[in-house]
Amino acid sequence: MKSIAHSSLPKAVVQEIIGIVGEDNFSVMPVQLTSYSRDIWTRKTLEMQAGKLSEPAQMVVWPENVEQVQALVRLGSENEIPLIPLGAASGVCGGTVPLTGGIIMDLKKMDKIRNLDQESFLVEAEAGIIGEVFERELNHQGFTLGHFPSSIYCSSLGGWVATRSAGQLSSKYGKIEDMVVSLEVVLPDGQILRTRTVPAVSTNLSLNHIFIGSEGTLGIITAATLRLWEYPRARAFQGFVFPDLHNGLEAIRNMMQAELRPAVIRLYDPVDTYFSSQGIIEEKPKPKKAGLSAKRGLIHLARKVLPWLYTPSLPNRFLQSRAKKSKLILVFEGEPEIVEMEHKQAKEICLQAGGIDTGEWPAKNWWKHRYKVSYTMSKVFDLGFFVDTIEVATLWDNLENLYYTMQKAITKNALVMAHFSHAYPQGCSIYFSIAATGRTLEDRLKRYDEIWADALNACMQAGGTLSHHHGIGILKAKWMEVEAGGANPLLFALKRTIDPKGIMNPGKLCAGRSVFARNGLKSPAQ
Amino acid sequence: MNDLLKKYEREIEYCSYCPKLCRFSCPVAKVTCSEASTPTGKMTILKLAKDGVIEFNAEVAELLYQCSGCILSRTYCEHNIEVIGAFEAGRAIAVEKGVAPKRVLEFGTAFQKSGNPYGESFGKNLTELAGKSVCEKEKGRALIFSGCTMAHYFPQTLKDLVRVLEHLNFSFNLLSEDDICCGYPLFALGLWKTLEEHKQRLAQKITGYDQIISVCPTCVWFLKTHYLKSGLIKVGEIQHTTEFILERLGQLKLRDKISERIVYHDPCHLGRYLGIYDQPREILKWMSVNGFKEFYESRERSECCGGGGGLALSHPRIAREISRHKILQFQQLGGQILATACPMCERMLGRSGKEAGIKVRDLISLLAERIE
Amino acid sequence: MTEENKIAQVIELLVNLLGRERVVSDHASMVIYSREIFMPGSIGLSQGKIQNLASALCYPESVDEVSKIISRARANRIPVIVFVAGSGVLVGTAPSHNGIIIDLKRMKKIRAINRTNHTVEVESGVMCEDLERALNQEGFSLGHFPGSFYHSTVGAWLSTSSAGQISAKYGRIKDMVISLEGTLADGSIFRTRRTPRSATGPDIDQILLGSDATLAIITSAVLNIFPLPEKKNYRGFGFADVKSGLDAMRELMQKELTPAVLTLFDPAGTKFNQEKLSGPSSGCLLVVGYEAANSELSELRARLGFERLKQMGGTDLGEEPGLKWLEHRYSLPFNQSKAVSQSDTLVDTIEVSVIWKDSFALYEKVVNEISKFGIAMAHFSHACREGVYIYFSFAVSDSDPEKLKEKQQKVWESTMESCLTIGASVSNYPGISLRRAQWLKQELGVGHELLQKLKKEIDPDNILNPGKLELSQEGAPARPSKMEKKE
Repeated sequence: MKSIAHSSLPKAVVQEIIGIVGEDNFSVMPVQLTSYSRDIWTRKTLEMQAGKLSEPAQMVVWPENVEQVQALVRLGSENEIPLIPLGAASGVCGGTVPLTGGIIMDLKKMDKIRNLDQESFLVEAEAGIIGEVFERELNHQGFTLGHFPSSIYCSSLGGWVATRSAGQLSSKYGKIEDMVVSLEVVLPDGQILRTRTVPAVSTNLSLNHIFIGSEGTLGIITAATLRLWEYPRARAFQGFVFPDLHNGLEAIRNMMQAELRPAVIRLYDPVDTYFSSQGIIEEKPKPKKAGLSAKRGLIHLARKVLPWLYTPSLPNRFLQSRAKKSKLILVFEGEPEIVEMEHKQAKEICLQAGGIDTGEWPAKNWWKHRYKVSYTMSKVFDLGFFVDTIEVATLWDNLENLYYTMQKAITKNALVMAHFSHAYPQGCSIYFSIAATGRTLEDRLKRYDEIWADALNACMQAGGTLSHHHGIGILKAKWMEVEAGGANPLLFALKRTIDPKGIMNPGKLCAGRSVFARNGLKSPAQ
Repeated sequence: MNDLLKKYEREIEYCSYCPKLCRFSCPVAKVTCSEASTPTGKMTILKLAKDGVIEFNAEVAELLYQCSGCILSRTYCEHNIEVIGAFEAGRAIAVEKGVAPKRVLEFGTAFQKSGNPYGESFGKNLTELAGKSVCEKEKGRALIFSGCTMAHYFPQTLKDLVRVLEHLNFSFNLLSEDDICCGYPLFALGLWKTLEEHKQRLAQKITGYDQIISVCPTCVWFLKTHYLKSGLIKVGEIQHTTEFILERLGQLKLRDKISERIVYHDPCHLGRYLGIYDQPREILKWMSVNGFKEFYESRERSECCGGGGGLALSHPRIAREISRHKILQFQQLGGQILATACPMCERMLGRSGKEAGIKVRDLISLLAERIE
Repeated sequence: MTEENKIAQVIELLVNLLGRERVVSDHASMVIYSREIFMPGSIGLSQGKIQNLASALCYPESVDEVSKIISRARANRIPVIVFVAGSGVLVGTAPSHNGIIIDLKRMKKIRAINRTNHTVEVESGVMCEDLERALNQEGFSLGHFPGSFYHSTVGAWLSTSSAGQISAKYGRIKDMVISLEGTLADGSIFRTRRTPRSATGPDIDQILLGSDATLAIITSAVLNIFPLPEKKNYRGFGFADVKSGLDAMRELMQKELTPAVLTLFDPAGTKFNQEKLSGPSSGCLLVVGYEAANSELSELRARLGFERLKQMGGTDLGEEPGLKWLEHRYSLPFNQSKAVSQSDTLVDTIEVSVIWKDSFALYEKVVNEISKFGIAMAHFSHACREGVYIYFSFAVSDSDPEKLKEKQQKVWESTMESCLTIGASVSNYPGISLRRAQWLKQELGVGHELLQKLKKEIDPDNILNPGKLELSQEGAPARPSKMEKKE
């Protein structure tokens, strides 16, 4: 029941699209378009919660192969229609949210593992494959990609490459750019770029890195060849508690600089540690049935009352002064003897830094529930609050400065806690979780924007980077100029070279009247 | 409308706020590749319709039927949400409003006439198939509830079951009339008014037994939850054949054991709905020389055949694709017999398996072939 | 305004900006510098006038000065060539005339060694050897990056194609560079964020590192440094043939037993170096070296690695070949051999990057092809999980210099063809013109076009290092071969 009459795209264009992908692979149905009008950006969830729907795209298409993508891109280019490549829409910055109509190109029908080269430890897979499906398939063959973002159940390979994602085990296995060997990209002029599947050559380096992190603004990534690891043969778990944050940070710095590569290295700041009872996380038994409909009345009450009561600075001040200890979680995996030695050495380093050995259970427990945190979003939103995460990074000697500066900036508007992970010999990333509320949708959105502005301004001032692995999207585009440190002209030159018409995911990555905005159209409001 | 959905209000809210972690497991979303088809997508649309943000129209309705009720998403949900509940309520609303898919409404009308989904008159055939073993109600304390799917597609399985029961010297009665459907299709498709009438009729015919046994886990589950629990019928115990057989394994004598490579498929209604994972496995292990293989995802993580939730009627192409995915996995595993314990699974996988020359058999049939 | 007036104006500007002692423009000096910088033979005498001379050479000392020079040069459409000392970065077939040469040798400060971050901030003109020495004094090292041994300055190292190579131990390119400072080809100054990693759009550092100094001039960088290893654990192993040697290399790389050094010599190479390295008399020599600051972990890896090599059929030849390799590694290359330094012999190297699956097939094919024209030997190193670099060294002889050059060309062409068919990639390109260049366009294809367009976009007047990325009429890109540099 495709309703061509409702489409706001020219009839001839729609006919051409049907000619390219077939009747079954496009939709202009409102129910479909509505489903594609948001990703997991908190701001969009708040809007949806209040019944506010944003302007949808004009069409969704599901190309089945790279030739169809090519033809669609050429069509979009000829007719100057915005194109938004999409994997699983799990981004938290609005990267796949349509701002100026256009066609959403959902790549999930391109989900094949094209080739697994067991000798060279390489796999070529199409961009639309969902992470967990991909990883399980590799496991069956004795491999692992080593990429475990907490969205692995609901994010795609193309999305990973386009946003520069990082997984929970990145301290050992690296980030997505460490995994990519070559890419297949459809350029805005319709040509296919295939960088070469060979170990590090310089033009590959440039070309790959033009598209890794381009967030759909420079082309459509349709496939990637990635390097693999052997599925680990051993795994070790270790927990520690430090008397304060500083000692904990020293411990992880020393570990990384001693050339240890724990798969997981997570240090929780005192506030976060306080909430998880200093390393003792209670294991709630799973209820037999989904009995969520109970206590509905209480929820309604909570929603009404809490926003009036909520002043984050009070609990923040209490927690920040009261909570002192910092919890550390370590997981090692790989060759058994190497795991054993790394584990041993890590323990020594932590003890030296004043840590108390809490055994393997805290880490084992985290491992078991490592995707659990994302599920708490539902609970929090249902209670009338909103949560979000702000993740930044810097070098070691600036880390505490960055942490305290940003904490201070966020504190008046939201409950704030953090953990440190994705550690490097040179520095580390900080992952802030914030929770706040407001009395009306307008209040909430205003507070939301304030939190982010304060946080990112503080971050830029303190020399941190805008985003460690979530990307820019719409949310952080305003700060890209500062972040780029003067290299923006290169970014703009890239855009002008590759996408002179500005049809690729307009309004993302860079803000203002730059070439990243839709040519001739207003720059999208934040 | 809100009355029917009130029970699921919290679940609907939760799902709409969630970063859709369960989406990779949804068989429908895997086939359509649409964000709208994911559990989160469907729940969000339902929320928007419930809240009046969008109109509850035919489009919304059509989306709500895109679910086989496999509840694999529950396995990957920290809140243990079973999305099918909300969708079934939504479908009932759709039927009430007259915006449900035409096929569904027509199905309801046909069912009302014949008392079963297939418009067949089963009565005589079943009794003939069962042979002499069928006894009068007064004498027998146990009722064999064949269910419409088995009766329509696999009457041979009834014969196999009878054979096994004879081997066990077990006396039973057989419900062999046209009202042979437990009513689940009506429930799943939102035809709740038609369902109520049907339930009243059927309840009279099946109440009073010590035991009801069925090859179909859907019937077992539905009879338990919609008839027994509400007190509509008074029955001692409702069992799936695998439970029944396992209790009596010692009494069975096999002529020989299965030597082929078996792969076992967990039916959603037997596994995630009834929690029966071990019994069929015990039976299979006992019946085979080399044991059996599991699918890559099994038990709580087992993937659907596409047959439940009325999907095979409302979206036959999607249902078929889902079953093909299972067949592909079976081929990758190098299996020779795909064993299951549900007539609907046997139907869906059998049909897709036929294209690939694959044998799909119910445990009961495998057993019947080998008892002395 | 005439060309000469323009130049005069620019020279005046340079003098105003930098002071007279930092600007050189006399004719004699310009001849010397131009010869050093441009490809031998391209500076020629024609009609009594020396062609392709640069007009001025200057020594800026800060990124602001560099920026100003670039901006002015742009305004006057005068080409600028950045000379990174000692390595003749620009060896083009079409050198620019009347351009300005920027020599960064005066930017030679080691700004800061940061012990907390394990980073060093260093200017481009610093000699790698000096940097290494300074770091050693603090207990650190630049690490096993091959480029640092080939090139004299940090700037050269970061600007050339060798930046794409990685050592066996440090698998990630980002493990090298944290942040870059410099000017883009349009004169704008940039200082990328000092962060171990970001997700803030395309990685500017990596794009620049792979771009061969055509998009920007890097004036300083924040680099990663590594604590000095305490102990070196080097050993030699003998393998019957190349195939088993490659399998052994792959095993170590893929099973987390990564050594700092892993080099395999093919039978010809083994024989050639047998005396120097105390290698086996037949078969292949595999040199394996483990060294890391974390000596306990390194020793464990070494023990496991050596055991694995034996399991894979390697004969333990003891420490000697390993230690000798450490001693002689810079004097090993073919061209250094006295045996081939004759006027009727031409010696050259081709570096190829290939994935494991294709490595043996490629080796066999190329060696067979080269053998038709001359003698060849190969060694394999810079391995990673997915593949390895093959270094083919070959020598061709002919008393006729024309025919000699032809033979060299034929070797290159047949090798390139093999690479194209098998799917490998050459990582260095000859500075000579090559007749059949379709394969080159094919190999670089759409991507190369994109980089050229990008270059044009950011540097529309082709001011910065012109000719680097262009394909000559015959189709050869203007990049030096290793051989030319060594001279």
